[in-house]
Amino acid sequence: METLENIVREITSFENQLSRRGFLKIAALTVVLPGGSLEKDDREFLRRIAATLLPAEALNVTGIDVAANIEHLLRQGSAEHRQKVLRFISWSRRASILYGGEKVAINARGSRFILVRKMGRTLSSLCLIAFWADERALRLINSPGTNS
Amino acid sequence: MIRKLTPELRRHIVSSSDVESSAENRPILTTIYDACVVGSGPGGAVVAATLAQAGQKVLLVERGPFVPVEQQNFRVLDMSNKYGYVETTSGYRTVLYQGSALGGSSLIFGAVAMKPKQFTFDEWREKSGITSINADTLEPHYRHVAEVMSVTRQSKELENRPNAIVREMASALGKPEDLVVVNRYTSGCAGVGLCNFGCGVDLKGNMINSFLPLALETGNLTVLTECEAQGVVGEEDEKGWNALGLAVTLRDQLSGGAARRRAVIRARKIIIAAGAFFSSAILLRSPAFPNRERIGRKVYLQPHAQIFALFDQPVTQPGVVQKDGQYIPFNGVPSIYNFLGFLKESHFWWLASILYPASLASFVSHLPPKEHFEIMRQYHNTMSITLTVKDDPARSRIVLKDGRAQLDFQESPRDIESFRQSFLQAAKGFLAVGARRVFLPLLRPPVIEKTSDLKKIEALKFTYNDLILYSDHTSGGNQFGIDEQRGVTDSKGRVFGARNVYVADSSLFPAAPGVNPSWTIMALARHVALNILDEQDHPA
Repeated sequence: METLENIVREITSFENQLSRRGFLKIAALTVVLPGGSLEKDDREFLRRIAATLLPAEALNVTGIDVAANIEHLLRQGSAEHRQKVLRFISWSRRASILYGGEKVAINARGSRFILVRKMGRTLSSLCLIAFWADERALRLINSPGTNS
Repeated sequence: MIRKLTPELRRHIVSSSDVESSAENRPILTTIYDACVVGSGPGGAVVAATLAQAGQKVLLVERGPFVPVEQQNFRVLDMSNKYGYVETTSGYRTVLYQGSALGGSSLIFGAVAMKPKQFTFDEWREKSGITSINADTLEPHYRHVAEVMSVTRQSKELENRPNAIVREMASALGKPEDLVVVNRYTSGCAGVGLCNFGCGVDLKGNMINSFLPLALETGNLTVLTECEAQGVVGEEDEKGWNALGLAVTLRDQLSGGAARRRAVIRARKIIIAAGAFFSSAILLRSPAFPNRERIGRKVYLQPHAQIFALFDQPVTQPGVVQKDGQYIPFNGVPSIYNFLGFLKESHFWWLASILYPASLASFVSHLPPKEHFEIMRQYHNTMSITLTVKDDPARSRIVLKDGRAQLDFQESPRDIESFRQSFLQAAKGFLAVGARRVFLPLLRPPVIEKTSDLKKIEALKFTYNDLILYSDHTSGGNQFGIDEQRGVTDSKGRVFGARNVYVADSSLFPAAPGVNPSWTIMALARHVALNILDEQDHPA
């Protein structure tokens, strides 16, 4: 299974849930241009989330920009997938006000609403994939036979 | 044997944009073809090749683009979003995943070639009432596919540590005899282990290095990419419903997949092989199509889930591959065994999965950040198996909602119990061979570190909504059957009530296959194609 496909799966499922429940239709109203990239606020939002999921030292040592990697991933895929992911990020940024801002990915996991839990998992996965899919992150992995 | 799509052959692969921009290609939309095949995966490519080799003029339409092999590499950032298409079941989080590029799902499959067990063929006979499709009658087709696709039995010499663990788990569970050495579509796998990225070294058999070059070499096949089939166009006459052509939308990837124009491709026969989800959708969208109340009923997901385990020792290969500056962190043939010890009674099986750091990162993303980072640092001490359930859903039907297809789906209590048993047995097996911790595919998984923790699995209450599942083995919906009450098509793949519309993909299966389906899809597709040719030569 491919990793970004996993994310698109999560988002597709998430959007289905939104539309099924008629819940927070802002997702559908978020305008995303075909072939568009992340908005400046979304980019910053993703960087702040990544900082809550990964040690600061890991980000500094590797120099990985999670938002830039997400944009790179999106450029490889279909327009349909790209729009889904961009819409999800914009929606999550708006919803994050209710869940501790940049801590949304972690706080949402504890929600009693399954939809919010899914949002937390999807945001986490998106940022973590964008980090660990980058070759520069591989230097953080212990050599075989070295246990931490 | 890997065949190449030479520049000469590629001249017959035309994108929707090329149709508009080049006068040379415009006749594609006005020619009357002997056959129009929808979908270029294991079903469509085999049908197209069989018909083209018999001298039929064939147009094959594919929704996705053509991605040349030169554009493949092993960088997760480049490849992980290139080939797939995603749908979900209605309201549930199970995701349907299939290829969406020339070659279809053969680009993303793990290249495992298996035939169904006899009890599956017995089930097919019972459900369909058809006795003429069975292991024996399909055998010549399996053999033909094996030759073209270099189906090769794997050997124990290829066993890497994850495969050895799967073997040890089978013994620990008291079922060593149920470990089956698989065949794979490769005669010389390099053991990179990233088959799902298309195979950057082009050693995996797929449709664009096997049946499609064979078909294109005849000069009888034209391929039209970025062309989405909407429905079959036809009319009722004295002999029944007669298809006149295929309504399509020409798309343009460069402009973000926007529809450029609609057209009707004219053909004497239409063969639908767009995968279980889209094949039913296309037939349902066809105006005045006969017997539509049966189409899209009883779709099987055969869903997958991954179970991860953390060990005290490294379980990846010690080496890494460096190619053109790319770091390829996993090394070894991903799966040489299928463990079938619980297939017949509990309806599941497993194999060692493809695993690389980004997939591990995603799978354990529910962990607190510090713990997640520690697990990632120990990537070389982790492995996973892919569980697959041969399902029998309580409700599953493809329906149209505002013109868009949706799979209305409800899992059955039997399938939930299959998952519970699979978690239990896999966790038991992992712990027995030394795993320090086992990670289950749940949104909120229990911690499994010792045998007494297995009770937590027995006590779990869950639905598909709580699981992290996906399906790329979707089948059914256009089952073959002895009559209109028991199937959508007859034993030759022809849709009941329609004179010249056929189905040739996994949607023909009367029940989930219980193994990786691609070899059987190709064998059945050839069976359908040869019957089409036979009917033409010997009309009733």
